[in-house]
Amino acid sequence: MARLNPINQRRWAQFRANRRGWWSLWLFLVLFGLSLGAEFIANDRPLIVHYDGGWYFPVLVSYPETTFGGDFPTEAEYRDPFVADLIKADGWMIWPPIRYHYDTINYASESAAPAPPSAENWLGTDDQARDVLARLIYGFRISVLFGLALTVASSVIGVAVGALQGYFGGRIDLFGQRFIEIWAGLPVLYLLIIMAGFVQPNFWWLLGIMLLFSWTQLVGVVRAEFLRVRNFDYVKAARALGVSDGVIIVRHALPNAMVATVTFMPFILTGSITTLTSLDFLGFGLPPGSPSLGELLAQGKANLQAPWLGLTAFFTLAIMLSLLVFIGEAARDAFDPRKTLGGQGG
Amino acid sequence: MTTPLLRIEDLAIAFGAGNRETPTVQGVNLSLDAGETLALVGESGSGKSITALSIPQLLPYPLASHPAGSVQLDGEELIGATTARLRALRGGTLGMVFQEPMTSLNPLHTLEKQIGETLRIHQGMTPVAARDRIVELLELVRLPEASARLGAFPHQLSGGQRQRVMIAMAIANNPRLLIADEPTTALDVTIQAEILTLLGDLKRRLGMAMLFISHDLNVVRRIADRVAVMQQGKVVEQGEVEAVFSRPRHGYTRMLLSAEPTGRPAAVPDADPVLSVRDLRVWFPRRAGLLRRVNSHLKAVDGVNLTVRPGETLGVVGESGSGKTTLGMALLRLQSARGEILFQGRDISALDKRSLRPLRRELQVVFQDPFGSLSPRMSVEQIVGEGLGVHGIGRDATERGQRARGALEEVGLDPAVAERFPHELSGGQRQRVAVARAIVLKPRLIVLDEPTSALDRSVQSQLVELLRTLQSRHGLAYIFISHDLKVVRAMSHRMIVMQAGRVMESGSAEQVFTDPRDPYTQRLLAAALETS
Repeated sequence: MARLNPINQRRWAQFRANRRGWWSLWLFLVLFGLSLGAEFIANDRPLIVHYDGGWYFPVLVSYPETTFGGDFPTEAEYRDPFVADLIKADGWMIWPPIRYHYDTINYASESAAPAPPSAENWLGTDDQARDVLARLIYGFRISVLFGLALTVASSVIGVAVGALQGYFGGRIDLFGQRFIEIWAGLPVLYLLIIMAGFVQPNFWWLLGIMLLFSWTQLVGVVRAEFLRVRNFDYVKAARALGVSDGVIIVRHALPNAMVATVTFMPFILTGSITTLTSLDFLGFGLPPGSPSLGELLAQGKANLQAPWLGLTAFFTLAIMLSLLVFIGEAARDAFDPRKTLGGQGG
Repeated sequence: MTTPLLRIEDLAIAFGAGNRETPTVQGVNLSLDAGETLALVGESGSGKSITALSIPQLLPYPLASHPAGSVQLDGEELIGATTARLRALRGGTLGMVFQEPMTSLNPLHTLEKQIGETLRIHQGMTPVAARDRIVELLELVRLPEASARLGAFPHQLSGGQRQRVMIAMAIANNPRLLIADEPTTALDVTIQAEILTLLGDLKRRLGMAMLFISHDLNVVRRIADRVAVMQQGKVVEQGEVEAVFSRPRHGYTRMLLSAEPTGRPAAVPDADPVLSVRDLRVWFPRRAGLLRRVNSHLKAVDGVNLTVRPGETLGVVGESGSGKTTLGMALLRLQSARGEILFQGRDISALDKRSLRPLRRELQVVFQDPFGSLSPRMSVEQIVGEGLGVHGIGRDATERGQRARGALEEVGLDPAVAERFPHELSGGQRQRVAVARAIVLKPRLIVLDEPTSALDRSVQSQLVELLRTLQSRHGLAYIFISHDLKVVRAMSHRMIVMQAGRVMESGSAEQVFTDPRDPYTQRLLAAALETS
């Protein structure tokens, strides 16, 4: 259905009526959009190089130093004054606003790492002389992407399992519920620590392991909704029409469960981001060197003499999570039948 | 002139806020003297319930508001009264009985706690003193074995008994005004009659005034002294019951009075039955003990035989819990059952889902609740066309759309309705959509499960008329399940009367109505006539 049906139109209006959530959504989308283009904002390669009459795009393509008249066939180090001078001698280059990649080490720093904020490093450097702002932008992106991936994947599995349990009921439901009870009782953190001993967890490993346990969150609500819906007359009518179970689940029952799902999603997202951050903080998360908010927090804790580390991580997390919670609240309002359908009492 | 007990002047009620405010009730004037019964009558949506709820100020404020008017109880203004004062009145001077006995009682409280609460709050009674009063009240509302039932929970009582408990709670503090909002609508006819008698007796004994809200004119005629007829938020006529009923002045009142379904179904030629059922049983196991062993069965449907011929209506009558709906679901194979179901000469009782699917087209159903039987997120065209898609009727979406529109036209709806969603339609229109969804497949048999019960009387007769027309045009066979004997009589050629899962009596509708043989049928008919 291309057009928004009247209920959804009213929900959208209700969502916009919550000004805080509405602005939070925009702010979050802008921040997230910017961080998706992190390579163009914070990078140790220039965006465009004009050299010797030719155009080069180092952000997208790797060029050996010899291209610009250097000595080594390895990739050009554009931050190296020698290379910069070579290019400037016969052309020019445009840099991103922040001339650091998340793993760029600022060898030119005048103070010892971690260095305090300066004109060169706006938020200072961390204890390995890497630019905090660059790491922050990349860390924000990876946090949100991880959160989104985990939320979408666990919602899909959770809704599917909840739908099957609720719609068919009986034995499937009974065994499903018992399984989930046992599964939810497993200590996730210990499992992660044990797993971290076997494999070096990367993004996908972590996502997979977290997914194993996070899908259970939505099962309860979706199952309850389906248990209610399956006895509705319009579901019975569909069965009497000969509509197959799969179609009934998707077409007639699922829309009812979507309200609960969509309302829950922003909160699952914040939960996922927090989980990743805390794992990184404890050192069981992303591999060493990855830009991550948790790792930044851990650095802040280890370097109390450099408060910009801890404060930066704290404010980033606080603002990001607050925005998501505000969006979640607005979504919850939008799906609240008492607000959306107000004025129809009697 | 003395001041009346209740005086409502120029009352207006609006819902919503700001520019979205919709006036729902306007310019209502009512007065009620002590010891008098005033009935508020009207079809659904006429504003009778919210008018009544505005007396104890129980509307969802601030969503609801009173742009104008006053409500005075004993000369005291209630609109704008303090919450503390209103709380003292509610359940004290003002007693209330609601429609649904199932949901009006807290399922987790015993009767003693339930009734005792109001005594404790309003009279500050100690538990011991309250206990005697509770027994007295339960005896007053004629609940059998009152003193033994103090510890009973609501689910251990029948619908009628629960309504008696509700009444006991309402009269516990000797109210001067009792507001009864459709107190008998959810009950079976035999029990309706008892509750009405009880309310009349109590009113006389306790000298209460009663505001009685109902859509059922027969009930009103029996119990009220005066009647006010409401239409679209306005009182269009009020006066003495006899005067209003014998000489209605307003056109709407006349319409309400003449809105009984009448007529008889057209005669049908003899033919081979389209459906014949032999010894149908639906037994639900009752388990008990540590091992959950089956020790007995709840026999919802127990050894039912019936046949329906093409073009014929078989009425299935019974009170709630008699198994008539379960029977309908079993015939549609939506409820597993044992026994033989011959549909067009073929036993369908053992078919699996897949082989049953082609037959679904010929075996359709219309449910009771027009609000629940249509998926709220689908447009009318999608709802009606869904079955066409399932059974591969029509070449493409355009042709299916045309067929769906054709079916809508056939049930008397404007085809433009196809674009709309169910919540934009009235109850009667929705029920027509449900009928269209069934007939678009050109079925042979339709199970009609209380299709008229949720509708207003005037809409009921239109639907009955429509169903009869469709039947004679397409030679449809109907199984018409209902507790409403008037509608059954207007629809059915033959009928069966069910009680506790068994068929008590079967025969031609005319014979069952004029000369019932079974004592249960006789009682049922007597009760229905008594309230009529």
